[in-house]
Amino acid sequence: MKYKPTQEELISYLYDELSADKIEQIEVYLNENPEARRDLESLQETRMLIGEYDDEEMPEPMVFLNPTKNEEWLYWRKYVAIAATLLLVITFGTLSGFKVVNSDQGLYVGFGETNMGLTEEQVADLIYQDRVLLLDYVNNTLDARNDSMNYKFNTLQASLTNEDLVRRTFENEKEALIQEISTLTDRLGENYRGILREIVVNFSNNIETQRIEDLRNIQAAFDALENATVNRQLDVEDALFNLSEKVNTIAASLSNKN
Amino acid sequence: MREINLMPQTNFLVKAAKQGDVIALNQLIKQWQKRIYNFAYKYFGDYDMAMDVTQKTFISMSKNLSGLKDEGSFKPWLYRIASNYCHEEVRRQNKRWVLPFMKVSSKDDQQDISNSLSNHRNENPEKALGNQELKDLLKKALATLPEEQRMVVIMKEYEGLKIREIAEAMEISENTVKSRLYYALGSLKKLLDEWNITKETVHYEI
Repeated sequence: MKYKPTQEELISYLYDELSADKIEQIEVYLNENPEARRDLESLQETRMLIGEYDDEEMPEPMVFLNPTKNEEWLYWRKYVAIAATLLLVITFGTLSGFKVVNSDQGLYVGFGETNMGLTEEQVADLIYQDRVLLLDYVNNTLDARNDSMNYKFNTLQASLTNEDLVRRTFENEKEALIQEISTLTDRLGENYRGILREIVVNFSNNIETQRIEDLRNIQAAFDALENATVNRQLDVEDALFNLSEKVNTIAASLSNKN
Repeated sequence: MREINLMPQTNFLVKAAKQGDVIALNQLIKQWQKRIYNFAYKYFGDYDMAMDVTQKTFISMSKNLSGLKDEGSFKPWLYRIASNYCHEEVRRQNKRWVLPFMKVSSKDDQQDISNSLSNHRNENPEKALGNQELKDLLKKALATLPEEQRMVVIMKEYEGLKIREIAEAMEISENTVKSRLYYALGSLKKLLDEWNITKETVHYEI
């Protein structure tokens, strides 16, 4: 019986999705049936033509799906943070030899070698001893102060009762005071005299200058008077001359009339 | 014809993303978003709907990736999610609106097509169809296909899935995939012939 491929086989052949022996079979058939070949070739041409429909560019790319990432990270983040903190604490604790011991004697916290602390009795004993020492010291100091103050007081009282000493002191004081007053007076006297002298000199100087000035004024007044007198004299002479002329003129005119 | 490289590191990324690696997950999205967007865009011919499906697909992907058993079947698995959202979108749109590509069979469009073809050839015989015009026509041609055929063609021709993978993604048999492809190619050929789009008319653009 002659082989004739099915529609489905032809399509598989067209898309090159057949096994090698099937391909051979079909090619034999196509060689014998040019019409079938033409049909197939026209389908191939159609495929080529529709292949001209190119891809479109995406107008806007998709928004990526990030939230899941964030949520997951947010969820894990706090645990990571806690773990990191713990690691840090442990590391530094180990490096510094940090220790916490809880025994019958109580809770111990310390760096490096942990020395067991003192018991309660030992601590109480220490405090007691310390207190006794302090008390001793305070008592001794107080006694010493008391003694020295008493001694000073006694000496003071003794010196107060001695009359001779008091008088001598008084005399000394008096003399010193007098001395001081006399020097003060001396210094004041010297000053006073100097000032007086200065005043007198100044006064005499003033009188002298005033007198000279007065004399000058008088001289000037005299000069002015002299000038005025001379002028007046000249005026009088002029007037006399005019008068004599007028008299002469009148006398001449009178004689002419006669 | 158009072979999409299955990125070699995809399996590795899927494995990492399954274990909760967010960077791997983002990398997967980065690698596949353009593919899924273009898949949906060719299916709907509409930017908003394609974007909508793309968003939903990747949200669903990141939620359900841990349930994926075999990393090797990531690709069909991803396209299954996308095609489910496409179907859902179509159902929703059918309830309230006429799909944009339904208008293709209207007389105006036919007029446009014949005008654009004849005008061009009359004015400048040497210049064949412009890239954008060809694209628009192919978009319209795809839109005339029934939904299930359209999806199979897009997965095969543009997304480069194997027939086995398409069967897996659409949960149908391989033979069904093949026969859908056969009829779809036949319809497209007929339509392109009708619009006078042949190897010769697009020759200068290739």
